[in-house]
Amino acid sequence: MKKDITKAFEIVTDWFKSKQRIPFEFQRQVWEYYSKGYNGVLNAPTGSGKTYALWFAALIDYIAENPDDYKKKKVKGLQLLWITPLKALSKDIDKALNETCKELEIPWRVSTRTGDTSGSLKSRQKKNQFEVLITTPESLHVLLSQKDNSELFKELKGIVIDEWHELLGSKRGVQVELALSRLKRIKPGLRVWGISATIGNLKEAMEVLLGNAKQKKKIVKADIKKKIEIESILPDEVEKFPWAGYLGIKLLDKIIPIIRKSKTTLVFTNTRSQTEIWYQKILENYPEFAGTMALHHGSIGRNIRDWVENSLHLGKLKLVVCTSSLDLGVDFTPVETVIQIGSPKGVSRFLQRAGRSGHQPDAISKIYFVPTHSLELVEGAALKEAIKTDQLENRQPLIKPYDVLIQYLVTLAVGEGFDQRTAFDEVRSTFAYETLSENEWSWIMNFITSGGDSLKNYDEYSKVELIDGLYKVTDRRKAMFHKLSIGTIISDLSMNVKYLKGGSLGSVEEGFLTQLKPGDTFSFAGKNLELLHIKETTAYVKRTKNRSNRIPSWQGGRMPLSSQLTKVLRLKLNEAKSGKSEDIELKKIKPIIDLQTARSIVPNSRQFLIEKFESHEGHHLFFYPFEGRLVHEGMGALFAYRISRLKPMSFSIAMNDYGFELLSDSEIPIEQAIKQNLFSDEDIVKDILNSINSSEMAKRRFRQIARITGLIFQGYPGKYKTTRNLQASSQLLFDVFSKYEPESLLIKQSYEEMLQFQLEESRMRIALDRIRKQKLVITVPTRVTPFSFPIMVDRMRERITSEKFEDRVKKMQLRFERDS
Amino acid sequence: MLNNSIEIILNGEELILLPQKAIYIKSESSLLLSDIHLGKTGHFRNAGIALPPGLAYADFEILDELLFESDLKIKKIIVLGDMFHAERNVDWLIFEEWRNLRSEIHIQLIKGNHDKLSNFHYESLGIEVFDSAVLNKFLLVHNYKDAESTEGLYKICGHIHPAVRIHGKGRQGLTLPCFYFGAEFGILPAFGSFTGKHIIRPEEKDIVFVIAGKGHEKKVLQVS
Repeated sequence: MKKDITKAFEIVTDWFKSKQRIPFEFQRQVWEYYSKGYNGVLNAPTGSGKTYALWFAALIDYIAENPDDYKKKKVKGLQLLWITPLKALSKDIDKALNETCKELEIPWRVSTRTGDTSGSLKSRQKKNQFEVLITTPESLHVLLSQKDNSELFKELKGIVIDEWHELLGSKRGVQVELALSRLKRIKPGLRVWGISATIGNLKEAMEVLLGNAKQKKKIVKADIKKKIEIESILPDEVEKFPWAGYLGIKLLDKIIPIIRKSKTTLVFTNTRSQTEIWYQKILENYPEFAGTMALHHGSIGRNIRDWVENSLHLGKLKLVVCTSSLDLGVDFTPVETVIQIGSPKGVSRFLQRAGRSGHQPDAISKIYFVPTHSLELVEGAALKEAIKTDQLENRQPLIKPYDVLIQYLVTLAVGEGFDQRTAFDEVRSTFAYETLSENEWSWIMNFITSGGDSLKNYDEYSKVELIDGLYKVTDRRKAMFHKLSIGTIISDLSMNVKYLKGGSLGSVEEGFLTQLKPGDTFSFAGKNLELLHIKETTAYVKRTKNRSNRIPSWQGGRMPLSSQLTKVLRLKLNEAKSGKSEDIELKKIKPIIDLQTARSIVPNSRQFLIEKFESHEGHHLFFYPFEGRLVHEGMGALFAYRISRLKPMSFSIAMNDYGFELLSDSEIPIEQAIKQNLFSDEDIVKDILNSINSSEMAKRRFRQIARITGLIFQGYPGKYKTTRNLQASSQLLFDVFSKYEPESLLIKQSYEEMLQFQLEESRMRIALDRIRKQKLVITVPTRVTPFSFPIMVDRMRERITSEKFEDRVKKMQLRFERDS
Repeated sequence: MLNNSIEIILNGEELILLPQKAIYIKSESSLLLSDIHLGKTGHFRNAGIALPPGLAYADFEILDELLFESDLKIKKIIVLGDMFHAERNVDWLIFEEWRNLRSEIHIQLIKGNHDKLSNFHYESLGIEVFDSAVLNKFLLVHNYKDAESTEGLYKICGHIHPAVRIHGKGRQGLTLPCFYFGAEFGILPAFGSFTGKHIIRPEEKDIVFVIAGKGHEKKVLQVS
């Protein structure tokens, strides 16, 4: 039968007309390209009609193929796969897709499959009674682990990867790449389309998604610029505003009127414990918000989060204090205002959060930036500038994560089994594994088949076996273990918090709970709780009237300022120095900049500032690369190491996003060190590995790797004991691998990830390169400077609880002010 | 090697605390150690967890190193429990091989909670099995809770895999395996290469020796 594209377009356009709408230009473009067999990426923001762009593309294709009987045609089997990063998003998509099918009388059945999908539905899905399947990367891999899964995909025409920018740059993104390589092999001609928000490297995002094969491809851009209004909340007197801090409670009184005025407000903080503290503080100072206020973060139980999200959706809440847990997710139409407490650390994240407000078409997104210390005012100005000039962060794709590949190959072996040669070619057709060598491949094959080079001739290791030319997992128990372990997201080492009467509140780190005794109170999920007892991995609690300042904190590295943001920040600092800026934030901060100039200097773009002074603590050196805290941490360790080679000495290192401090009890030979190539990038990796406790840092990366490769089995949901005798800690595993199999690719990967993510090595090289070209200015301030103060404070922060900490900062700052 | 060890006198008995996580009892020419957990590697590998195969030999290499040490004259090895971790698996065969090569050494096992294999298996390799034993002025048990304190006898046990956390400057911290000696009993660190650690919080009057360093630079150090 001949394809009738014209008719299909008409039918769809009529449907739009019936809704008093006309398709957007970008939607038409996607339909065109899709029908011509292109693959590609649609760049469109949320709430722009991006779902319809791809959804109707698939429908048009189907109608065009069956122009006369598309309503009657008995379609059998999966036509379209829709991959979404978030389970929560699948509900809305499911609804929208189902509705249009009904209205257009298209006999497609839409179904959703995520980790939450019930077993009975899953078995119906197995029988292939659906034409559209909405799923997550993990659930897609679970499908690949089923026997005869290629049967399921034999009628598949297209795959849509929603929110691709969220997946790109993560191991979940690599899972998508791998699954696509398999599906394209099963079904040649399959069309693959990603949907992405604007990111710095959109073209690369497409390359990663589509892989290396030659194909027709296209980026379609929706030229919809959402209007965003950004306003910084300014302190009345910047002189009295803290020089350091991160809570931002100081400006609470100023944001309350904003919250009152707006229908619904989201208050974004940067950490889970900050969320808890803000919630308590608002309740304490403005009790009238009780009942219309909620809090939301990743450690709060799913049931409570669902309730919060649902209430937001229905407009029942005035205010939600949250973390990045609400960055993504379904549209909350009632949200009119967003408030960001402290630095968002990146331009994209700030934009994303702003976009959570003003969801009606043509509405303006309104976001307030609340600085938590005075220098952050400059960040407010930098954010505006970066957004105005479209300086968005790149999402760096991952290269060759061995762990994901190992898990994937076992997945294939559990499923239909794989032919070694075909699988190797398939895997190499992805962006991530393009450079995978034969040697690496054979190491991985060896790892999954014989568990490394066995010295024992009577070794019983077997997981993946070669049977009639195909690599398979035949042991049912091992297959089941593997299916339960599919995925790359690992949970924290945490304990569940439950009411004795039943009902889960969420999870808290073990370390926090084990410090408490039964009867102790703490505050979590916005509630005052008393610990009753701990049993295995659950802490049982009851509500109490006693208020407690004890708030759990969760580990999780503090995010560094992105390189896009630091770049603009350095520019803005320059402007602030000139005094000619029109930015209200920079005008406000002028007295602090003047003080910095009086006591030291504010470096311009051609200068690199080092401050040097002595105190009762010892000899301080402050460096200001303005390159984000991770680079500073690595650079601090690197410099300390290089200096100590000139003269044996030990340092303590402190850092923030602007600079870092080296503190020592004896004079630091900085001039000599600079002459002897302190800033050189020669031998940089060797020096870094020597300078830090690199094995400790690599160990931290190894935890996830061990989990993904199945060295650590997390166990059956809710079954703690059954698998305990097969549990070894990731530290122990790291130690035994380092010792008995140091050439293991998993150990190699740990170190590589450490350099890439923990120390941002490539960014450090760029920074060193810049510094070498700058003119060095060493000042010797007689008093603490506004630049150095927050770094010194950061050093003390480690062991002090947040509130006490704020008090102490205030006292210290008072002392400094009196001095002046 | 003995440079890195520490000699102590406990209940009138001369002991050498070795960095290999064992104690040499001079008067008895005996090596005292605990919690080897042989077979754990095989147990994991059988379940499809790809531990480094060489790991199964690690503990025998360390044992041999001690047996060949000219400064020690080891005639007997006493294991304070948890010698074999699991069901009889391939690692038992390695154990048999090793035992056949070192058949002149007298081995005694105080049974631990992991030692589920019936005595027959041990006896077939010439290993004597006890629930507890008295050696001069020491009472040897697996878990200190397994036996009441007896007048004049000092309890020595294993089971816990003791370690202490040492805090350094800044955020650095180290967890190190240790020998623990309290008023009531002493605990040996786990000897096995594939064993976890349990962090203990010693009291002020307790005496603790940690094992620090790597490979042949391992050292026994007193920390409290």
